[in-house]
Amino acid sequence: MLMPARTATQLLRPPATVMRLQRLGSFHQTRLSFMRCLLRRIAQEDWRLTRALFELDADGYGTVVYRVATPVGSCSLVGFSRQLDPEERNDRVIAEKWDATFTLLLGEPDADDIERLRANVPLQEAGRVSARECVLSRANKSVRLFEYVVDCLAQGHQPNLQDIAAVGYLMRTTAVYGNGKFGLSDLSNTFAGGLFRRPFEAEMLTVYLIREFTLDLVEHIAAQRAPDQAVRLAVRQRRSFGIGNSTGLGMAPFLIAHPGLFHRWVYARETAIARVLALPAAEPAERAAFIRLLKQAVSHVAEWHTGDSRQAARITRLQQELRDLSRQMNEDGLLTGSYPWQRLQALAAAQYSEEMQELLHSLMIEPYGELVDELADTMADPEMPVFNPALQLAALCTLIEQHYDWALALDFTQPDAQHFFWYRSQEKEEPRLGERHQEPGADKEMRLDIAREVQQLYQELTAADPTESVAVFLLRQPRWRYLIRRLQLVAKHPYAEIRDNLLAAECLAVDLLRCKLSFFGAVKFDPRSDRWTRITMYQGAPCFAELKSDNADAWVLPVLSEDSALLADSMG
Amino acid sequence: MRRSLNELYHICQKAAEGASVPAGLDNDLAQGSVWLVAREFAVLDALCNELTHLNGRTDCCFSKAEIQCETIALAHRPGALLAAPLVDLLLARASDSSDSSFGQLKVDGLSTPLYLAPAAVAYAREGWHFRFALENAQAGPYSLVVEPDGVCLHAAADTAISPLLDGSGFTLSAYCTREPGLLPAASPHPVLMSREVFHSRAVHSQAQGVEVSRIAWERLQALARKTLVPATAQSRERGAG
Repeated sequence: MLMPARTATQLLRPPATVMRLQRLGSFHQTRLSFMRCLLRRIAQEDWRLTRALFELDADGYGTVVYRVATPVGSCSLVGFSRQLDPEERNDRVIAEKWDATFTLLLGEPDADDIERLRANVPLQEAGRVSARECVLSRANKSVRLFEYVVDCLAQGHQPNLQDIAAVGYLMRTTAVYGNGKFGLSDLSNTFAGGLFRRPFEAEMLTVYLIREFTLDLVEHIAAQRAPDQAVRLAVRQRRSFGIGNSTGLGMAPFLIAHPGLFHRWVYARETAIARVLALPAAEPAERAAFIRLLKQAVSHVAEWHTGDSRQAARITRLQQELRDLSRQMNEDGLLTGSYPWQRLQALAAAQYSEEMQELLHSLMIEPYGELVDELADTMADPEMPVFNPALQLAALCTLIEQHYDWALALDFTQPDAQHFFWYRSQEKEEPRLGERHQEPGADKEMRLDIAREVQQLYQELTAADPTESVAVFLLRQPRWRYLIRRLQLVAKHPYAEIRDNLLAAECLAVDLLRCKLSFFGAVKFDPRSDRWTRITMYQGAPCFAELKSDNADAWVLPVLSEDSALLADSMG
Repeated sequence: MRRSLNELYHICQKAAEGASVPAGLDNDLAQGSVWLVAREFAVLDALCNELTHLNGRTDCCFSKAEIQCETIALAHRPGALLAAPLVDLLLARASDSSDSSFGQLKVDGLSTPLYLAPAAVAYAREGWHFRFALENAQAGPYSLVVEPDGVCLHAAADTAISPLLDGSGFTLSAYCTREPGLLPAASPHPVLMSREVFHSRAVHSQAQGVEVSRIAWERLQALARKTLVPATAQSRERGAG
């Protein structure tokens, strides 16, 4: 296949391809994911971690402070661990007690700070924190694995990697709050000091430090239980533990509510892919790195388990497609010709599932850190583009026709087209999804019905004076203010809008969650329903003390058990 | 209690939504309120009053004839909500003027006029210059200046700021341009609040959050609660978070 020379800009995939919900719900971690970027930064800037306070009793209950020193200041994770009765352990947002609670404080806490935080952090949403703290979080134990690991260490041996792989984490977070919630530092203030500058960077550091805490915690309890024979976790075992997370609908509307930010994330990812596609050849080292990653993907996917039938079927197909591509790599020398990444992309688009296509995009950019890593600095929140109130309605119509043709084509007279409505629940003021014809509350619907609204606006605009300005139209019809501002933004930020009807019966909210979590860097998505998912974060990553520039990216597609690695080996 | 700016934004937005403020205007209103509170203007009581007495969406609508009048009469419509659309109209007029990029607007019956400042600052960052001349029977004249490099408030000696926060019945003469030389002469009155004070207060609030009275917060919460839907057995069973 002969590929023409095209620039990266020409190779950007169109929003009509990328911004479909099912494809967004097939995204995987990339080297631009926020966890990956954070670990690179920690290594490059030589951040240092010290355990400033570790006052835990024999059962691991008490207070800890982990201090992180960086070239531009310090921050501290303050954690409180407590006994929790099994019946009180609940991952849902309505829970009121947790095994451990945390806050990330800018600077270092003194004794008064710790007392203040002890009175509030364990209460989470019911407490108050201050502008000195920038993240609030909590976690529950995976009790079975936690006890097993403590027992193993106390008996003087390492936990089995297969047993670790079956769960993957000692604790799972059930919420990680930032940006001013419950009195926390506003994002502008968190960023003002220069310590944090990328999206969710403080939150990602918090989770990384919680992982450190969970590892120290099991070692501490084991040592208390059997001081004479307990051992510490071996490096391989330590790396095998990630942090689990349960994520539900609360996170889902974020991507719709922050279109400018979402555009930046997707644009950076697509630009990275396009830069690699534009390369006329792959150097031997880059080909070797990709083929090694492909082989590792086989092992990694073999350890990706879920009880969700849809995702399980996708994983099964993914395994077949990975084997098929591995075979083609061996037989055809797929990457040795000109424009190899374009040929690979074309092959994948023709033969493979979206799950596979997006995994390949993640793998393709892995060998090209020098080419793409700087894009991480383009993913923070942009200045909101100024609204153009002078725009004439005729131009606004044209804009809708250009950017929302997909919305105009939807048929909202079909009953399934408006099956769902999104609302905020009275219980914890969290977003929920209701069934319009069965549940009350549609009169208080959240603004996620973009496609339906666009259709209605378009009808009104076509009946209005085309020379009228938006400013005059909005004084007459103020209800369209939100949407018209959004349309103007989307016209300049083409990856800002998800091009699907989020009210439709076939809409899977879990795709929204997966998309956002992939940008965080999560792996092993395990949907527990169409509305919430479990994931693992930082699995396979080096721990803080061993983090160096040469291993900061060496945890992509982690493989835990020997059996999975053998599977990959058997495939050549 | 101290609140973060983000907390304040969200409670104001939801309160506005709960009071049936049209979508988008609620965002502007919340953003404007946070901007003002962060600069230590106590606008929340006036905001709650406007929202409580709001007649849903109809209070924010104008007819074409009303908009085309030389002076737009607000006739008891809520000034805090209409600040952003009026600034938009001013800007649209400036953009329409083919030769000079100069827009002007006259308004009668404006309440809580200080909301004009946050409505104009986003445009000012893009190079627009604004003058807002304000007075009513009890107070003024005031001159609110919004420039690319900051906001400044002038007034006659011994004039209080408070009428701008909760007063009504103001007449407004507003001007905007990209060419500052086209604006009317600078206010002859002394500075009531300088650019530096506007700026330093904003910096402090960003770092420390803002103090919001329990009463104001509860009033906003009461309005915000109108946006919430009670849980049902089905939603509890199927929902997650």
